[in-house]
Amino acid sequence: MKRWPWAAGGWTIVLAVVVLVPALLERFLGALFPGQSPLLYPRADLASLTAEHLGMVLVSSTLAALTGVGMGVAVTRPWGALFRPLGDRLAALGQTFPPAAVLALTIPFLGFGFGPTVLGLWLYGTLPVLRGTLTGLEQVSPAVLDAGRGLGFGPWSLFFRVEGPLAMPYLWAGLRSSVVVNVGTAALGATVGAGGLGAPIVSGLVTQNYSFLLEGAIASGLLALVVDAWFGVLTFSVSSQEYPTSRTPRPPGRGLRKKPSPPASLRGTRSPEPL
Amino acid sequence: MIIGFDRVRMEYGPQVALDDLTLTLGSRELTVLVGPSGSGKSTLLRTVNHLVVPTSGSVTLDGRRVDSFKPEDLRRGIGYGIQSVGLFPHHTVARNIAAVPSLLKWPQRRIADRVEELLVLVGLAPDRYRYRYPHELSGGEAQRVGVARALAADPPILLLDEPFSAVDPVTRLRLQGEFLSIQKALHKTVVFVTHDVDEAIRLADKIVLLDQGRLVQYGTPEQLLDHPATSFAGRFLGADRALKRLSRMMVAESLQPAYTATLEAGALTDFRNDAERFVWVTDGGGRLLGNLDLALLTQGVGPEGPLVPVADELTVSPVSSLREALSVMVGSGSRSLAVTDPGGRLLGEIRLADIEKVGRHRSSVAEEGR
Repeated sequence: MKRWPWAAGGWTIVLAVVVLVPALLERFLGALFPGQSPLLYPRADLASLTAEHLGMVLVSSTLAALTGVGMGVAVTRPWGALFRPLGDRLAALGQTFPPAAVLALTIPFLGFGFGPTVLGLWLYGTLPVLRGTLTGLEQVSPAVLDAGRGLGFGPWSLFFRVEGPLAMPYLWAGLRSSVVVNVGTAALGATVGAGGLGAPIVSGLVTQNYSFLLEGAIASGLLALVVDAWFGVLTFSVSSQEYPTSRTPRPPGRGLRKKPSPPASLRGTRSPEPL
Repeated sequence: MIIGFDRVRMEYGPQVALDDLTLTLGSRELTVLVGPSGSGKSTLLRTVNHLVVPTSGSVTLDGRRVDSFKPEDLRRGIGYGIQSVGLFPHHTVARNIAAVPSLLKWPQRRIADRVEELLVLVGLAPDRYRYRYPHELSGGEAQRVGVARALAADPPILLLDEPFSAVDPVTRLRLQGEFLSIQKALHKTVVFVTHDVDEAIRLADKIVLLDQGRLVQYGTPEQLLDHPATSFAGRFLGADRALKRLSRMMVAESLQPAYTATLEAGALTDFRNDAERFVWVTDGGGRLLGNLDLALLTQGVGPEGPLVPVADELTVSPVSSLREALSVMVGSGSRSLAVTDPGGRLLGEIRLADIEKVGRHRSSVAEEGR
């Protein structure tokens, strides 16, 4: 990180204030909905709801990252080539399938609660990661790989020194949209009793208490912004690691200008749409 | 290192890429594999570092089968360069060149020194190019880096698959010339693939002509040009074979002393002419001024008047090929050309009759000896 990430830091502070100082949020909601009582979701405070929400996202996205990258790498190896069409089809499916439908489909099979929601998010979150991994590995020029093999790179060093680093920006973009989508989709978990920031939203809809609804919506919206902003910051540092300067000292003041930038489509992915 | 191919056969499904090919390539020679596309030349090249595993038959290096090595170890001992270069886009020029030395775990200091040495060798200023990324290089520069990377760990064998065919003709000629001088200094065992006959003839110690996975002819460029083994070989080498042979000979080999006169202070001195009507006129420092028709002198005119200056493009250098010299002669209608060094000093002359003689002489030698 070359400079302090103002946007990510700023959104994090805003989220922290909203979550940790309920009185402030209560006054704001009171001004919007005079006469509404209670103004804040009474069954759990925003801090624990946010923690619950983050927990779901963290568990499901970690699993999604591992399976997505694992599948993507596996089907592009010679021994996994048989499953390549399946991988492509799965990756494409992620684009056409609405997130709400995932949870709707998991309930009849898996029942209600935290576990099934995490499972649904895991499965859904895997697809953008898989897609990013495949796109990243695909765009590596065959000539580069042929040259690498011809120079005597073994399968492992070719993957970790050449193929992986070149695929990294794409893989990272896939992971980013996966996690951001999961932050949003996890709110739907409340409809199946998983808690999280969806709980006040659902409760507000049912009881027509729009103050509850806004409480949950503001918090989950901010959370998505914070997560995306931090991914943006880390994208920067991942790609500068990828074009390293550590081994060979370079003249001062040339580093940034010389760094090839990833394609425009991958810079600053704000939309939570999969790749 | 001697590279041996013994009944090497490669099939891709029903297609036969290499058809029981047996061939031995000489150590420290530059062998060019040439043939039309689909002749199997790239496939044959890639069997040497085991990127292609033959269906049957064996490839050996100094008698040892290549499949008895661990593929990575084999390849680290063989330089490899390809048409599309395949530089690692996320690594600097220096790190690209250092690829094999790092795999071999050389100490950092030694790698840095080697990179510097190689950049100089391929004609790239180390300070300007070391930290560049491949996307900041021109096609020709990228090819130079590719060659440097192939040479990095000083392998005894170099495999080059159409390394110069993706660059423009002028750059290609220059790269070929530079590569020849590198090879003259290093004497690697080089296997070089091209589909360009002129490139093959210019570079090769030996040419392997392939067609449809079969060996058509193996020999020196002169042997192939003088005695194409089949009608295919004749067609492939072209009807201008005699001219192509001239492109392998340098002007310096047929250089003749010129009839000269020196022009100093408006008077011709140092007259070295007995019979010829025309003389080359130089200044006191030996630089060519022009040519002079002696017949005009006898009419009592001073020497400056009838002196005809010679345009630079009508002179040739001693390292030009006889083919270029012949082309200049045909283009200008003259039967002899002045040969000058880069400073414009007259070294001698080259005559049409001598070029004809050399061409005939070579053919008769070929007929007797080879």
